Amino acid sequence: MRLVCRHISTFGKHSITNHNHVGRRFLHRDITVIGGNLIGAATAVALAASPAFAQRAISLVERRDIKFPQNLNEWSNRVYAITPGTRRFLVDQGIWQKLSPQQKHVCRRMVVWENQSDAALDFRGSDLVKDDEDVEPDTVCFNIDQHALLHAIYERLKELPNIELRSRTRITNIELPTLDRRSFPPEKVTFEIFDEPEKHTTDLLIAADGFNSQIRKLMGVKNVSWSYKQKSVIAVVDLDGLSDVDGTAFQRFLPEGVVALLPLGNKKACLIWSLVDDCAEQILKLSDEEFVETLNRHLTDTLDYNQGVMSVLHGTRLIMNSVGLRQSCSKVTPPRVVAVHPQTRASYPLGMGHAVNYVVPRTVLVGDSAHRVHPLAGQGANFGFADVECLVRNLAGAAFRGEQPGDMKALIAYERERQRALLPFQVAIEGLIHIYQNKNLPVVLARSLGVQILDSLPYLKHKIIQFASR
Amino acid sequence: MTRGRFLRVLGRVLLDSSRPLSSQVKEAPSAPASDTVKKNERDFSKLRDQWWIPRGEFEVLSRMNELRVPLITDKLRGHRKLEDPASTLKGFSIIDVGCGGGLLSEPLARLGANVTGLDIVPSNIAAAKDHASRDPSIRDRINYICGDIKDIGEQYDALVASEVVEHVEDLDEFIRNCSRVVKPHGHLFFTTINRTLLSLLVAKIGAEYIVHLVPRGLHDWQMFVTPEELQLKLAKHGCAVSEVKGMMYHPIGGYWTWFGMDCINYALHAVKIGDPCQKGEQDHVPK
Repeated sequence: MRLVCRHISTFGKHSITNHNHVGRRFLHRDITVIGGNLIGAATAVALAASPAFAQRAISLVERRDIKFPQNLNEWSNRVYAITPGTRRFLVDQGIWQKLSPQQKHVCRRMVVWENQSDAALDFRGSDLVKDDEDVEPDTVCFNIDQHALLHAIYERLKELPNIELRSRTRITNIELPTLDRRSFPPEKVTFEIFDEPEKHTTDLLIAADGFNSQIRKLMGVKNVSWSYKQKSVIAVVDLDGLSDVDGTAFQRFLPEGVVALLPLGNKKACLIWSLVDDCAEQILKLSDEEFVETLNRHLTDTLDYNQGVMSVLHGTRLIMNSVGLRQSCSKVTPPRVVAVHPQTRASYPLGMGHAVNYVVPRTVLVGDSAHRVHPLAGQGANFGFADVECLVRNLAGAAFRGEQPGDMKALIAYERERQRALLPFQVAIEGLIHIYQNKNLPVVLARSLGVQILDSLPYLKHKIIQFASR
Repeated sequence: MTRGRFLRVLGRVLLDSSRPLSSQVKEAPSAPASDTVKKNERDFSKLRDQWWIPRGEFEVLSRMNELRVPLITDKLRGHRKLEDPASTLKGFSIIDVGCGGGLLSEPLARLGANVTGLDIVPSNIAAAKDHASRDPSIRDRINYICGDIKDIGEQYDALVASEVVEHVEDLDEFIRNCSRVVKPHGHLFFTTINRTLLSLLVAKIGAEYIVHLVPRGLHDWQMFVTPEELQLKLAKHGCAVSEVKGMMYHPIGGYWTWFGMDCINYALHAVKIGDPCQKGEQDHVPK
């Protein structure tokens, strides 16, 4: 609990004022969730649905208005790759059942390659061991539109009587408890709502307010972060060419970033293309035709192939074949983009963030507010849902042990479990970015050889995909 | 740790614990009992502010709730499904003997039980009362009493004596009283430390002198109780042991887990099956 002691000084400044003005009403909610996007709303659902909190008042506060597009079966440019592990959580929460079949597209295969050599990794869903009966046996991930998923969460939320949803609500004057050793248990969190006279108190504040979290700043926890100086260009595109284009996700590492295509069915795909800031600006300005042409060039060109590396790869391939190790995909046949849907091109900045502590007394961070990752692994949302599962499990366990709501031991257990699970991922993603940005011959050779050997070792590949899809 | 320090520590421990060895087992309970009471009072009143502080002296003890509360709820409720936490133990009356600052009484009350917290050290009861008074959801369901178990006249559905028997001078008398205050077919829960070489090394020397998990001199290894002794004493007073489980503390992660061996910490669950009142006098004659 070294961390807690450290916060004593940080907290002091937030809790000086005395707010017991005459005639001021205090409203108490047992748990308040700040941020009504995917992770915040899912947290509220998971808490309210848990028997441990069925008798508790849970409040979900969102600044924006919560509204959805007319046609939820239409794909927008924000698509999440939901792993089987996250699916299990969504099924348990009754959210998955609210999604119609055409809103979740099954991806059965994932091909990863680069532009300096033709070494490629080919993951198939059949490499995964299934513990769920009702998942199609060879699913790598489910591609789900952001609006459809959020809508499903809110549909489930409406069924739970103990959630109070407050949209278009801004909270101000948040005061986190001091951790004065004499005043234990810590005081409750108090806050006000903009334009409302009452004072609100809560036993536990859950912050799901995104990577730029205001609550995290208030908590005073150290946040390690940097910008990748990259933007992610997103769009919905039409594909042509391959027969299995509807079941395969493609990802190509380029020196300027990563281009990825998530299949959406009917030869449509969602493009997620991370690019250095300047390039991204230029690409967004291109006309639709030029955009498609540039994209195809980045997906298919072989001009950067390093001949030396290629011949070494060819040699090892022959040797490996002779001892019986075969690659699952000998040559990548990338899809060809034929059109980009109008008005779907957009971009958002990329950065990495890691809060050194996810919890302080009575306050906890979930999702992007605690950890922000590069989208190349497609894990941001999955990490967030895993946070929710872990947090609710620990809080419910503590409730059934008779601990006080907002008990620090349960929060610490959540923090320990999540950081232990996430840090290796964050390091691996960082490592991948740096390895693939490098154009030096030894690095290119090493990574190409590594990828080629890995691709022919089903056991290792299986382990990796199992690790990534928990 | 240097060799010199290790020897100093070892020497202090051995001196410390060799003192009451012969006196406590055989002699009549009156005189040494007051000694132990005084020692407990002295030790615990020093620690009166420590009970509820995170990372305080009783951190390890409060973390044990992760094991002992589920043990109690499982045994009392059987396999009924958990619904609302606040009604988990509704209707059960529980006496927490040696409640200290109420580290276990409060969670049990929060789960719906009516708890009587009993402790012989006045400063413990003061700390417990003070802390419970701040939580309106439980303060009506906890009743703290400063006193001895022999003065308790009521009978309860369950008795909990967690980390207590190693501080008790006359174990036989204590167990007799424990059995007496439990209703027929009621439950008794004990957690304590076994008297083994390993527990001397780990729970006494390791925890008190090396990693400072437990206040120094709080425990006396000679007074630790083996599960067999406890089982015999319980049987003598009409209680049948249903389960003995080892517990282990992980100092690095700071949490407890159930453990396959009961050579250091263990929890014991017994059920009162008979009424030993008639035999009580006869059994009390020393050998």
